[in-house]
Amino acid sequence: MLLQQLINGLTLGGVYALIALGYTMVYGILELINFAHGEIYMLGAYLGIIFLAFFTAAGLTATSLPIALFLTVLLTIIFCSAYGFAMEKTAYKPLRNAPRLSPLISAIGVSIFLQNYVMLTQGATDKVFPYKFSSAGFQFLNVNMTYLQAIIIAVSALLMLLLHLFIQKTRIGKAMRATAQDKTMASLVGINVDIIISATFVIGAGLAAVAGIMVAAYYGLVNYYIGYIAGIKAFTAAVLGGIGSIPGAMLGGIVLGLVESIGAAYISSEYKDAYAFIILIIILLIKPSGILGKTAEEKV
Amino acid sequence: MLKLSSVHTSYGPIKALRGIDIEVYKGEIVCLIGSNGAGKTTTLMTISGILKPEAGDILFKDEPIKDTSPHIIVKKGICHVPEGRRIFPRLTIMENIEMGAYSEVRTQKSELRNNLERVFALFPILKERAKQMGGTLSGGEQQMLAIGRALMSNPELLLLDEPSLGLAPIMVSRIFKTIKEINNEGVTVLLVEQNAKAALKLSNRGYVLENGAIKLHGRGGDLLHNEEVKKAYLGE
Amino acid sequence: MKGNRLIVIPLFAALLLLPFKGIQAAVIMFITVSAGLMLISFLRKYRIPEGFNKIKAGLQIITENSSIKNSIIPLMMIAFLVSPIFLKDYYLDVLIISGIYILLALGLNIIVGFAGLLNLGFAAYYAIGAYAYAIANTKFGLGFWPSLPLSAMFAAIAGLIVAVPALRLRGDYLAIVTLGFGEIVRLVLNNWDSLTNGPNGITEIAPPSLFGFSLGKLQHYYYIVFVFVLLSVFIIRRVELSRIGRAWKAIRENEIAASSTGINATKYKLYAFIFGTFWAGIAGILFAAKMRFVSPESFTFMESVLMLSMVILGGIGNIYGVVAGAFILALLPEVLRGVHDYRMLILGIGLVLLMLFRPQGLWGGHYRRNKKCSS
Ligand SMILES: Nc1ncnc2c1ncn2[C@@H]1O[C@H](COP(=O)(O)OP(=O)(O)OP(=O)(O)O)[C@@H](O)[C@H]1O
Ligand SMILES: [Mg+2]
Repeated sequence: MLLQQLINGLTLGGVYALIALGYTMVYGILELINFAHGEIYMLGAYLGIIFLAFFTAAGLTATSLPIALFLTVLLTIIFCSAYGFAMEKTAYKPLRNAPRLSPLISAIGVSIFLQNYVMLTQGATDKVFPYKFSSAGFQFLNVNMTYLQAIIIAVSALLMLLLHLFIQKTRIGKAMRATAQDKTMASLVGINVDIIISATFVIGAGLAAVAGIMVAAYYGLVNYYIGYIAGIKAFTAAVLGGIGSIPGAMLGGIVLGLVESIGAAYISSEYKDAYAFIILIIILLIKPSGILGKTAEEKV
Repeated sequence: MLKLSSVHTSYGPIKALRGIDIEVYKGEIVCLIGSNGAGKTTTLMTISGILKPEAGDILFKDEPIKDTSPHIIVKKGICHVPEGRRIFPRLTIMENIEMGAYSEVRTQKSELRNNLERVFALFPILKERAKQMGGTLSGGEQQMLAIGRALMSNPELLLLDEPSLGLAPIMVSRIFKTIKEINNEGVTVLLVEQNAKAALKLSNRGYVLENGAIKLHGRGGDLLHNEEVKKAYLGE
Repeated sequence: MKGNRLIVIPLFAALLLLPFKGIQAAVIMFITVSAGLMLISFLRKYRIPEGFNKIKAGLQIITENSSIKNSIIPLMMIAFLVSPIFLKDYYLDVLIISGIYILLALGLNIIVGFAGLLNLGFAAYYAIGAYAYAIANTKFGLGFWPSLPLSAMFAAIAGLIVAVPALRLRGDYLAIVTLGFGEIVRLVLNNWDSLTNGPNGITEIAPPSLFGFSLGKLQHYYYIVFVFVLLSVFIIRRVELSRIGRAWKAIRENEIAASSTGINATKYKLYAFIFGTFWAGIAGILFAAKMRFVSPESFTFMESVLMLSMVILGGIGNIYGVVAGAFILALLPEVLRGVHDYRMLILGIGLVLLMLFRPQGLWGGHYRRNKKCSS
């Protein structure tokens, strides 16, 4: 029973971690809580369904499922990244030197806009994922793990590993870290800070897109308001791990996923959504810098 | 090579530069001295594009750069080592140095390696600590890292803002020697220094800045013997 | 505007829409955005914005002219006072709800506008005020008037409970904690069936009564809310001009400087939270008494955002601006009746545009623009 919950929690946690990375990367560079990031995840879920339905109608799913799935994921990532890019350029970039309240409210505006945009274009009713993954799985330490769960955990882990390598080893990744630490100095060594910021939004959106598709496939249903609650939870995960810290977001996501599924099984499933908020509040009050975060430098 | 004509720069309501004319010719070392708050740092920041001048013109190799972004100005060949160390504290020393060569994507690998060798020869401590985080270095070591980082970018014009700040006397003379060496290799230098005597000795020409305006300018040696300069900046 | 932007931006917008709404919509999007951009560059080219500025300057003279100002306010008061005689019930209903929102916005403005603390969960205190009366009335038979201080107190105590620990946090973290509290309150209302009757809510709440007369008619509610609004404007204005109000402003402008002049910042921030949430409690009881029904659905995050939008739209920190902002946004659904579905979409875009072009709100004068020096 407990082990089963661990598997469920890990699946959920991987998804939270993928979304949390977007929050933490943007916060690391701009000190902005990108409130609309959860909506990108929601867009990812919808786009995944839309593209897969398109390929199904075109007959591609029937003839070769892997290609259809691959194209769906690819297109979804591209489109979500484009949304992330557009969001930054229109709603945040002009406010870069404004008081902190302004971009946060602008972000709330974007969030409301995107929710209603999807509701108006796609309808207010639940959307069904057009392909049903088999509920078959394998025995693993006496518990059942479906193939889809295994895929979700593996994909999350792989993406996190790739991101880690990208940030640590590549030229752009190093430039991102440099920009997060000192934007002026970064521009003085020749880094185009605007492009780095755009890249941050694009990568974060791409990860959220994958999270969105996986959740859509996992639950089989999505709705236009799933972004808000998932966004808050992923933000909690980011804060839990230490906002601005990439390993922290991964750890925070997994811890949150585990707490939620174990809490739902052993304490109360009605309050499942409240655990994230309670953890968030407790963490902020006890150690605002999070588990892996640098100690709070500015307190004001 | 670099020409500022009646440049005005403000921080909001505070006017920091009120019409500055400076000219730097190829191959020179030019120094900029002045008391605290005179506007030296502001001048360099305006040249490198961090601050936008309100009025006036800045020409680099006869090309206007006053509306160019800092990262493009770097690519054009101006490298600015700003005041304070401003190394990246959570990047390793090696990564900090690599960042110095960020805009040199087209430079040969071997040349970059030569630059690296030169930096390490100049500041062996950096080689020893290459894997350590920049923020763990002492103040003086961070200053070395900042200069080392700048040398990685093969600049045509190097803007140095108080490179000797916080360094032990022996390091100061090494830094000045290094500046001379770099200059001999063909890099033009615009140097801001509190250490006016050493700076003027090193420089071909100098400008004295006061309250956001150029008060005096002349050959380095002449300024060194100028009574006003002696009284105000050399403490004699 | 560069020529290629006139193609690239519309194309980008059209592509973004394509998977969601198909080719036809994408083409329309392309055309609309191109036309919009061309219009903007045309206006810029012929310096028409300057013309707008002249009009704006003219309007400013009118609004700042104190004799006009002084005659407008009494006129409006009279209009509001007599309007129940003429207005149809439907419009009266809208005005009552607007009044409740004005109370909420005034309360939130104390926290956000005066003290500069962002609160994203204000609906929680509103909910606590409403449920306090709903429960006191249906379970314990308590009337409206004795419940009034109770509701206000419960909300203020909740404000205190959140504020004491949360005020140590920096701006946007504080905002997220208040948001979290708002969600927890909603979840509790939804799930504590024995007390709150869960998602079904509490029905048959008694209307207010006075000397044995039931005040359950719309006109009665109208005047009650009207009096409360006047009272709250009067009281809040008084507090704003008092020592406490000045301390709030000092903290908002520069907390460190304020602290160094001997202002106990934490204490005054606490006052702001308590005083602000107090009004949310009052708005809550009025809402419960008016609707005679409460359910968690009325206290969602979107409500909190709506209240914040009211404060921001009118002009953060400016009481009259906030009243106007609340009034406009509360009436907006009626104005936008024809495009009802697009209401929230427009609100979202509106918030972004407001931040881009007029972050101080329509009537806000002094809004801190602390431009960070480029670093
Ligand atoms: N970010 C800023 N905001 C407002 N005023 C500033 C800012 N930076 C500098 N100033 C003002 O501009 C003027 C020039 O400053 P600048 O830093 O250029 O002086 P400086 O000559 O480099 O002095 P120092 O020798 O102390 O480094 C000073 O009066 C300073 O107070
Ligand atoms: Mg200086």
